[in-house]
Amino acid sequence: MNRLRALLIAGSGALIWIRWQRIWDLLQAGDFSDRMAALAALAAPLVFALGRLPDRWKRARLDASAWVVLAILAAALLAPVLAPYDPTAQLDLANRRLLPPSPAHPLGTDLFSRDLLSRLLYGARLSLWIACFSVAIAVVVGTGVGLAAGYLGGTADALIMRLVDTALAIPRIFLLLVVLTLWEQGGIMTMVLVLGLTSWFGTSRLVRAEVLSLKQRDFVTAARALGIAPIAILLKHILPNALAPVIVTATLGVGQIVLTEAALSYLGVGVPPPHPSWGSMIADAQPFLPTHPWMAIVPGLALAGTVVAFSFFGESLQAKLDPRRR
Amino acid sequence: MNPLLSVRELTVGFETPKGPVRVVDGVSLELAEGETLGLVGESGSGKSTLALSLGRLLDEPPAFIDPGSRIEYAGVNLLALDPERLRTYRGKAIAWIFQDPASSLDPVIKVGHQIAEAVCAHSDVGRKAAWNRAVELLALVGLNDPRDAAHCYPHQLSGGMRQRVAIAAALAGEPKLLVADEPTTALDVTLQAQILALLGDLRERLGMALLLITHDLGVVADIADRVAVMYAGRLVEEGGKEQVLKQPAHPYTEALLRATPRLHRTGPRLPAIPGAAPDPTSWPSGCRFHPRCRYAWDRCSSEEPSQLSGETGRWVRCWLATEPQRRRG
Amino acid sequence: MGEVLAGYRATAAARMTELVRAESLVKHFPSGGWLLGRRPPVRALNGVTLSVLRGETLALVGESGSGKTTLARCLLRLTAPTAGRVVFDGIDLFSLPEPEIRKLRRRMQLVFQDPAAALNPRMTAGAAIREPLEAHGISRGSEAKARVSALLAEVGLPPGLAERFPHELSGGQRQRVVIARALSLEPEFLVLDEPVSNLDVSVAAQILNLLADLQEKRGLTYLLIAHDLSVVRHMASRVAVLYAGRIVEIGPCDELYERPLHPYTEALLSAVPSPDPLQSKRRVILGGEPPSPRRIPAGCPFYGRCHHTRRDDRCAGELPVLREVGSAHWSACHYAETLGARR
Repeated sequence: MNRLRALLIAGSGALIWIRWQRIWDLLQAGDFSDRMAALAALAAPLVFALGRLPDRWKRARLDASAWVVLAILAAALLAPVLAPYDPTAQLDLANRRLLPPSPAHPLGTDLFSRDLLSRLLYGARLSLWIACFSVAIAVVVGTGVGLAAGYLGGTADALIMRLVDTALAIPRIFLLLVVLTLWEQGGIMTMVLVLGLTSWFGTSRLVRAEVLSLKQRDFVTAARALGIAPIAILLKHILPNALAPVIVTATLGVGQIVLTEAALSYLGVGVPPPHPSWGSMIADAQPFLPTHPWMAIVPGLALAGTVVAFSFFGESLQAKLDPRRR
Repeated sequence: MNPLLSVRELTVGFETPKGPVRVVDGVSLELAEGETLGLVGESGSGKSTLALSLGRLLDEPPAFIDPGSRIEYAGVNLLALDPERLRTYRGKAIAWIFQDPASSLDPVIKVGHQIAEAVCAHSDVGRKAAWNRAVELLALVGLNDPRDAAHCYPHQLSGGMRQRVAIAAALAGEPKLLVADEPTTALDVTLQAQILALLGDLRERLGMALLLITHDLGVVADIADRVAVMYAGRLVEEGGKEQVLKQPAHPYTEALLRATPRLHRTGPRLPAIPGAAPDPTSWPSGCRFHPRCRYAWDRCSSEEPSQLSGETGRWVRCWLATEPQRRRG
Repeated sequence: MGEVLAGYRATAAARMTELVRAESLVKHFPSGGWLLGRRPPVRALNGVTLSVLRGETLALVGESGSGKTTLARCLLRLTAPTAGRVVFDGIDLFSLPEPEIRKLRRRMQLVFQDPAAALNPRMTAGAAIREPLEAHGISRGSEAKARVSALLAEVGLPPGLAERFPHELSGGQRQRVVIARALSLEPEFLVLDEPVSNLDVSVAAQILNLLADLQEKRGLTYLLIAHDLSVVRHMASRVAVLYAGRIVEIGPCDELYERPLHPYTEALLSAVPSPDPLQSKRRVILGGEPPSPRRIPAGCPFYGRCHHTRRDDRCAGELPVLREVGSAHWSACHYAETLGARR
């Protein structure tokens, strides 16, 4: 653990040293997320040096998939600091179009002479931001609906679950296409909302099933017999025990939504240009597949790698969230 | 006469992240043809692991059987056999029944087919003949309407009937030895009595040997010829049923008998055994029962007693056997 | 049923010191499946009347499906009966609104069969015991912490165990935590639902002794649900035998064990395996199984399995009512007297 800590301090320190000018510029003139990235880069060595993991996390011991996920999240968060160029800047339309990888452009440039590494990093930030927020919306709504349906039971439950079944019967990609086409000027926020509000159905069914089985468990009966108020039983005894599978599916959901967003962007209704997104990068690269294959392969690999990493992470979380296995 | 089953220095354990844990530790026992041995132990004593290891039914790894162990069935060391040969012994030589009949039957297959499948696995008969044999077996285990019962799915049967079906399936290979691991624990007393009577009856009629594994001394008294007592991975005492239950030699057996509630003994307080059974990850030093033993003295915590033999087939693993005067104090 | 009730009430002693009374409790669980035609309901309780006296241990025995657990849950108002009422210390439980009942819960508590399932796996032992103290405003903060330690000590556990999670405790320790939690509200009435059937013999004896000590010290009233008749013998002052959702015999423990006056009780007692190999094995092995709670036959529900020599058409057609056959000893057998006389 200590060698790892030294490595992390040294790495983050080196980043500040190398990219000092960039961090300074971001702090001076960046937008909110740029400033957050700059502050995060500055704080990183301090956090690694002084920070302490809570005991529970230490006992959980992170495995490889967790480190990969953390690295992806860190790269996305620090995109403004790490990226060598502005991802939307057309550097030199005359001379620097469609360059192959080189020291100046590690992943080359695209048709509009934009640096592909920068676009990949910013794309990660945008894709993960969209995915995490959509999943957060889905988890909150799905858990709430599932808790209500499972706990109320009876007619309320039947009504809610039939509505969910109806919603599940509508092909999601079709729904997304329609909504996003109709609402073209909505921007990224609309996309987050639409993605989030169309992906909570599964979560709500999962939570409801958990609640129904937990309601029958002896410790819930015990709480009732002890005169604990229903709302306290719901929040203290049922919710924490229903949450483990929700967290796992949420983790898997991040990968799913990254994929969906890429598909939508590929189809041209997702992230509006010139913002970089992995999906639109692959779409842009399509005409050059025979001559410049790396343009599609690199974002494709990033996409696949992220989805796989989140899947593995979800699986390992599943094992770790069981209190008996800690 | 050679014993039907002879287990020598059997050590079985599990690989865990914290290192190997020996759950069964150097157990030796013998079973003659047609004999019933009651193996008594509480949870964590290793008795169920022992039952499964007799047919190498544990997943290895994480489980492991110490190479010094021997399990001889009719003179053949089962541990030296290759998996294919070993499989021919399972069900045909030794068969098992378990505590929970609901989970040992497949919920989506008719019970008749499940038994017929077991029949086919052990003999070269056609499907029709196997089905007829299954119905015969169901009649043998005392089901009233064996023909109808064969067409039932497990959930359509009651707990007692399911255990009878599990026994019928175990009998499909006409085993010489039936290993019954807590066969009546999940059942009500009246059904427990029925199943025990059935096991006793089948043993007589089919000449099977029975290894009955239980925590309940009452069950053992009912059906066993000999009794072996297991504590913390070791056998601590063995002898004839009457000897062990009337004159227990090991303090654990003695304490267990005293702590067992009786139907015709009243009084609100039971002489309980203090403490709890030890954890397999850290067996106590010396005699493994010494922290809970009322007679223990310093020798017990430092030196483990060996199997001290009295008459044939009657022995105890306790220092009291060498210093009987201490039992009074 | 009415006359039985009247007879019951007439027992002056019972009325004097009665803590809980069940009156003609009926509980039917409706069966689902309206698509393929409705199946008959599960008749778990079919008119049970009994009272639990202050300071006694009343045992409920019977096979699984006999209605023991349903009866206990009705007595604690954890399940609503289909008909009948439950009176706790003069209060009709099912006429109280929910907030009132939560206050009353301080006076009656439950100990479960499986202590592992009865504890929230994400709460430490200490948190589990502290929760009811805080929910009822009995004590908070450091005071609550001291109460938890005192309760743990009372059930024979060291205070350090408060920090452990249920899976870090042994079975016996878990059951002690469940008992400590039930005691935290200082109840008068404790329902013990198979409190030792999931424990090893050596540990079970410890728990039974603890329960006996607590009863003595705190003057508790127990309703003990058990299928192990040996355990009942040690704990109970009175025993009620349930069969197919009805009480078939009820009486003082010693009397009922020595002189059972219902053939079912007799069979139950003789089915208990004894570790004493010399004890005579004159057993009545009951054939068959209890009737399905969906299809309880007319007449005596035990008719199909009965070994009584006097069994006849009257048993098949007429449901025997519970009647007094000895002092405070009631049986629901038409021929109870001849059963006793035969021995």
